[in-house]
Amino acid sequence: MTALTMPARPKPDTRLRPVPWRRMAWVTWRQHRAALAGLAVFLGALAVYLWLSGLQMHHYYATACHPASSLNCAINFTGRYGITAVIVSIILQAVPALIGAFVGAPVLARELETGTFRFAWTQGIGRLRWAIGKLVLLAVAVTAAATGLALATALYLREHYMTPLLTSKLNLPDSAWIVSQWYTKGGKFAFPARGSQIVGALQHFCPMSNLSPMQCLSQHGYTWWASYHPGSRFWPFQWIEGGWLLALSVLLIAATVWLVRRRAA
Amino acid sequence: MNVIETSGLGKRYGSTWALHECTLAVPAGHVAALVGPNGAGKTTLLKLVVGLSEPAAGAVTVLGGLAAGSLAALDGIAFVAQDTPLYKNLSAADMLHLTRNLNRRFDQHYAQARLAELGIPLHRRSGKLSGGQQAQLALTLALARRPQLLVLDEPVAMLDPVARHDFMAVVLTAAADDGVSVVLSSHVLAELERVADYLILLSQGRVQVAGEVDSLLASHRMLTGPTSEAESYSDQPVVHVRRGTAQAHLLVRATAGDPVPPSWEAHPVGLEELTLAYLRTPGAAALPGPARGRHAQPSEVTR
Repeated sequence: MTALTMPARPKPDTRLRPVPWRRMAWVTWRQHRAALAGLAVFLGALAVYLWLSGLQMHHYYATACHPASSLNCAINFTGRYGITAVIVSIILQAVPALIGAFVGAPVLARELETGTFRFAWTQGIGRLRWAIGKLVLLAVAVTAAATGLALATALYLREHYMTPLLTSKLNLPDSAWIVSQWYTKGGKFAFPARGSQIVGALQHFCPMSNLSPMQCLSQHGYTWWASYHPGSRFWPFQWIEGGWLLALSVLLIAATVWLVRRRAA
Repeated sequence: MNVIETSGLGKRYGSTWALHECTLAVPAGHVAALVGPNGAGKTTLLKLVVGLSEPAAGAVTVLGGLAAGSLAALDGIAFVAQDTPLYKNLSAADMLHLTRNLNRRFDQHYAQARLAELGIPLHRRSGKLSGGQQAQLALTLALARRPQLLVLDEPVAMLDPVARHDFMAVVLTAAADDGVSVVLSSHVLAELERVADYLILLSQGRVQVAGEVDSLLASHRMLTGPTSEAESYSDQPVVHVRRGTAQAHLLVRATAGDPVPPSWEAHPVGLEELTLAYLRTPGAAALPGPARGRHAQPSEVTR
């Protein structure tokens, strides 16, 4: 083997400038681009599905819900799309956990599993910069993707399946978020304002009527009750929820950085 | 300058001390071999040196007083860990690019020339390279950082003899031509004879032997004589006795000029022989004097 010598080593710098942050961008992209691309495809497919079903629901709503408070609308629209809404909401709840599992967890777990942390953490950049650089870039990418999906959800889907809820009359404004509703008769609980019981009651009392369920049942001595959050609580709720999620994220990021620094392998 | 300096260094896993009361000074400009049986604490010591773990007791500094694991220390030390970890899904070219981005210095030209010389395809995934090629790639990445100190943990354990020879040739070239100090741990004693000029022998978490190979060899001799007289020999301190039916071999602390008893014959000792004798006698020690550097000669032998 012929000797291949290196050029003279530069004199060690007296003041050591750390490796620039931007160098971590390439490293992070190269190591996580498959996961990020997969995430983009998954969220994109979900967004397209939500958009298509939103259009479909919009179309059906326009034909079936005249007036919006009619029994026909309540039963048919909810019956047709209620399950879809439940499934979609479950998927949407699972999305953050899925992102965490497929993009977040491997950041550290794969390095530890394959032993490559012994390579990564002995490079000149230092393990702290390595960890923070990766976390920040991945957090930005994932947040951007999730924000895109959230906007798609809010613009195309949410308004449609919020509207058909039975929020008629009395003093409840349209902006209220009704948690549950039920009917009483003679001061005693009669049945919830959903499910087979009310359908049976309505078919019994007002089979061919154009009255709303509430009008129909109130004529027969039932009183409508609802528990709800007023619409003014919307943003406080958002902030509370967002605050907790943010606190959790900060906690997890801090735990990751702490683990990286402390890791005594 | 000492590339590694430890004092009372200790590392504990649970209740077991993997490394205990380790005091050591490895001067710059050597290829130092770190030898010891399994579980002696070799990997533990190297991890402390490169800052992958924190000491439970004592202190370790590198490159003339830098804290191990500090940015300045990381900048000047390249580490090739056991089994040469690489990102298996990245190509050799991507590994170069990645390492360049993770360091202040990276000699891309040198790295590419070396890989070309070794015939390692740049666009093959590193996980698909042979074991020897993976080790060479890891070594190339380390040397292209132009470190002052190269730390290798069991670099040739998994390699076949040809790959082992090629790997060590690169290490020796870097040490000889570029003045890189090298510390490497190894089980392969025969290999060390050829490459190492400084020996550190760890046993049960403690430093048993430390010193320049030349002075260690010059201060030990192998005596061959009748087994019946082996017990009574007491002219020089005996490190190890190997008894045959007729003849016994004594490793003694003696120089070439020391007198030899009439029925005994003296031979110079090789590094492998010397290392084996100490490995078989964990109680014996040959260490530089208490204040490191003041006594170059081993000053103490016990049985």
